[in-house]
Amino acid sequence: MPNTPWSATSDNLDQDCHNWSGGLRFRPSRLEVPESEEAVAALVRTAARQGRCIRPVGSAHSSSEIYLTDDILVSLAKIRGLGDHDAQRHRATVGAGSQLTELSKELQAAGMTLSNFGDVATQTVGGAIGTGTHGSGRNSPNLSMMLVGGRLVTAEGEIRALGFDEEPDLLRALRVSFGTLGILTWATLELEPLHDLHRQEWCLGFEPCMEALDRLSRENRNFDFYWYPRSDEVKIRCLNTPGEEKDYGAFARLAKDETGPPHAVIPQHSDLPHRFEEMEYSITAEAGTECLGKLRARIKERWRRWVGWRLLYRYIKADDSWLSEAYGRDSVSISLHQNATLPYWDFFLDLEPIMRDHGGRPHWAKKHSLRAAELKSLYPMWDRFLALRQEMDPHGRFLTPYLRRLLGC
Amino acid sequence: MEAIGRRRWTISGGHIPLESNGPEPAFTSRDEIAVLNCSGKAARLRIHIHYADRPAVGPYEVEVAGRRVRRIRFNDLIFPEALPLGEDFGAVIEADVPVVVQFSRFDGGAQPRNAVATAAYAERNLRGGRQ
Repeated sequence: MPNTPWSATSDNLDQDCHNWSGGLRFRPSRLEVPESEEAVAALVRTAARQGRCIRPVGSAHSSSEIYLTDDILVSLAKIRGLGDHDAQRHRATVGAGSQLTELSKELQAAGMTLSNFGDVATQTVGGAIGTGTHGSGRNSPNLSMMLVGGRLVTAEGEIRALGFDEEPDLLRALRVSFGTLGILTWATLELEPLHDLHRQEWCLGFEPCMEALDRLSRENRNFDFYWYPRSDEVKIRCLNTPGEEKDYGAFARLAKDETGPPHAVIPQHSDLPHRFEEMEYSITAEAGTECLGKLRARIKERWRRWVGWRLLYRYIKADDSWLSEAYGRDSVSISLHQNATLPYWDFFLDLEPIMRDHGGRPHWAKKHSLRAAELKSLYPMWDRFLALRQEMDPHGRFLTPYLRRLLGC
Repeated sequence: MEAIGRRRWTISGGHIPLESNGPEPAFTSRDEIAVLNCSGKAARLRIHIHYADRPAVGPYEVEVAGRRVRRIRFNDLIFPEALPLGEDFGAVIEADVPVVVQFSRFDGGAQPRNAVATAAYAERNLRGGRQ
């Protein structure tokens, strides 16, 4: 089992829980780590009888308050691993508490792989899906789109089987719902046959990168880049099927070159020892470079004294998950970072309006200042999601004060 | 080749200029060290940054390959946290093999000032040893 704070049940926590960055601290009244799906259901039934709130947590990598609670926190750390799977159809049912890194090794042994990853693979399946975690690539949707079925513990404490073919709208709502419709215990995922990817990282100036950006983003399977505010340099990261990579030596310097299965070469920062805070917004792909230009100018003008961290620019394919950052539009995401030991809110809040001016949608698991009134206008399916949520959880079993403010319910 | 230099170096007059002028990164104002590692093995550097009004931060860990020179801009160090620009600092650089460290500053602000190059200070008699 991953060494997480959630490895043992406790009803008298003697210390605060905290997220990965250390920026969020809270103390639930009880921490539950059920052994089975049936135990999760029993836990929810008990919570329902007692009128209590219950929140699922993954690996606590998120830096937003979506899983913070002073009531019952439930970890699925013991509901993990590869369940039923079909390597021919590239489908597998996996425990929602599976950490992506560990699950990937099991999938590798079974001849399959997740199609994409974020920069880290320390998240759990449930957490990554529920928050719309994504990697980068014009043809790569967020990880939630892998979810085609599974099993959900409802607010009544019943176990409900799910399938996209049978209930497509439920899946569209559930994919990115951060545990507000129920507790996903097992996830059936659409995967890919195991394959290798060739990762190349190239360093170049900002202007040459912008001139070639459209081509770069289209001719690589996975493509993103860092912009370094204190040197105005860029590092592009390109992943392709071996043999399909391009040579950018004419205008860039090769900094990294490696080949391996996706879980070995896409996430590069799973073991990063130094913590940071992050704000991320997704905007339409068409508006990406204009927004980036304004952010770059603002950072150089006002923030370079304090901020050395890079800005990350990624691509996300449009999807139809109701609360997905990329709902209905091919998107780019822009992430701001700051060391967790340094002040970050003033920096984030100064730049957030620029991303909002470009129709930005905040990442649910990262820092942002938006609440329901602002969010509602960003998501065409907002009202339908809330109606379904109310129907599935009429007593707010999966809500906290933060989530009530966030969703306006 | 035999290692040349010392294992511990110090810089007391660090101050990364805030303003830059001209195309970057060539004209980015900066404080920089050039580290020469003549030994046959990689040198692992641990840098601690000292400030006038708050506790030291570090270590910043950097590696310099054997028989190589590497320029390291203080501007670019972000782990464990970015150094503020325009603020006085001192640096203590410890290496696990003897190296030579040269410190330099390039100030390319709106009113360009001269570039500065100077040797860092190396302890002459670290724990009584020759290095």
